[in-house]
Amino acid sequence: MEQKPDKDPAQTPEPGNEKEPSKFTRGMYKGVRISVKTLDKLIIGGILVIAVLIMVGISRGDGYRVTYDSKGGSDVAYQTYLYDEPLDMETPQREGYEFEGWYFDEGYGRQAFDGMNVQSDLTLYAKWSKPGPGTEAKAE
Amino acid sequence: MSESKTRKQNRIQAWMTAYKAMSPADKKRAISSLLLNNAMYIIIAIVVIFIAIRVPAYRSPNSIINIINLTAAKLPIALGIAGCIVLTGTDISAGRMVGLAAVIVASMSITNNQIFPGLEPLPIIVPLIAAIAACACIGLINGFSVAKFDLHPFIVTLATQLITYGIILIYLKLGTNNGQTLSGFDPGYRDLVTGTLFTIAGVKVPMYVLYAIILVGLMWVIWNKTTFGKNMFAVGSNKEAAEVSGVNVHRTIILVFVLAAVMYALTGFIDGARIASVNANTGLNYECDAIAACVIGGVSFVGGTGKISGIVIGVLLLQIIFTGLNFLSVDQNLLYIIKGLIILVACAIDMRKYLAKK
Repeated sequence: MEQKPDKDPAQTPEPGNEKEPSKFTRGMYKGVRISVKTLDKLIIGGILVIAVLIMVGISRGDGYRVTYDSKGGSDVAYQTYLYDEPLDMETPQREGYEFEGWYFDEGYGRQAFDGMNVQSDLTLYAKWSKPGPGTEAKAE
Repeated sequence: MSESKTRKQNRIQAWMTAYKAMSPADKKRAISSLLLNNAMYIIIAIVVIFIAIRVPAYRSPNSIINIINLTAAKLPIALGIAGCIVLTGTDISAGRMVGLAAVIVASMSITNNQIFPGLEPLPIIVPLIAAIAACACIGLINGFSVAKFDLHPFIVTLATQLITYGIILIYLKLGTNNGQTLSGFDPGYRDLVTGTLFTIAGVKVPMYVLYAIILVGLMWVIWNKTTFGKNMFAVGSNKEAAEVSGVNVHRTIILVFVLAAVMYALTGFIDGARIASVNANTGLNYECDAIAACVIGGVSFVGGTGKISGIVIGVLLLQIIFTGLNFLSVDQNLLYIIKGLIILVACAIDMRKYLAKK
């Protein structure tokens, strides 16, 4: 019944022993003791769980939410997009400031433009500058 | 090409002849075996057909080319990590090395440079070589430790993963950058990677698809036509036997890890320009996707087996299914769970194939 642990199962071909747990002797599976029958159950079970999760995911999927943080400007409502839909942004208002665009991060490293494809949930941050001569462009 | 086609046909014919000669009970077992061994492909096919019917946008040229582009972007890292898996190992520092390469390339190709204040974008070959050299050094540490001390790659690459992350964080704090996201790259760099290769149906195919194809060809030659490639498979399937038959095991292992690291560097190089911004999280978890793709593509954890074509198929299949799930707007958090289960099932199938062969 039991195979010697140090013996390579590859060298002991016994037809019909599929139900016996075989022990792997090499690779990442070294020491794993499992039978083909158990593996079959694992595969079928795993596939079923994946299928159920996908179905749950599909039934709950409600698009991608783009949230706007206007950073002191007028509120901009969030929008819902389907995957790969082009972005269509509103322009907020703020007393005494000039709107410079929406950015992907609060450090204003990368600007968002209309027409970019939405591929995940996003939060966009407004960049403002004080207009007029003599005043440094200031981001808040 | 035609030779492999005939070989494939012969395999199907051989299976059919063997099947015809079987007793009814054996026939049943052979069919269930066939279904189980290909369970992953079957479920992916079903899901893809379902999505294609439900969301017509999924089968638009735009979406198909998007899938091809993303596959191309993720191929180099999978090609690299596959070598480590063939050696019965793994490499969990891959994603961070991608990040390191992306940060290094970005820091030298940015127009308003805050890491090296005043530095104008350098000719693209300089940052590319710097990134490759940095990653190759880490790959050398990985490979050397695995080869010389027989350490399990998991331990070494876990350590180098953390070390690399630390280096990335420190690097991003250089100058006046203070850890900020890097963006605003030299157009020369962006054009080289994301410039138009050609357009199909009004959709642009970027240059990096060509680079991915070149890398696939190059890796195929390395794996199949060079002594190094043959040695790699020999070491992967039986290290002691390879050593006895005169293979320089140490050198082979080190070279595999260094070659993998170079592939990660190229992934980082492509990714920086592709995403157009680089931060400390660039490359995070890339190794998980790459390892999953390899296992699905038949690069066995048993070691010593795997094909370049399998890796390409693995990366493509994963991309097809996950882009599809995105189209259905399946929750991102759920996608991680699905990905994990896919890896588990793929491993079970991998073990089953190995056991059933005997």
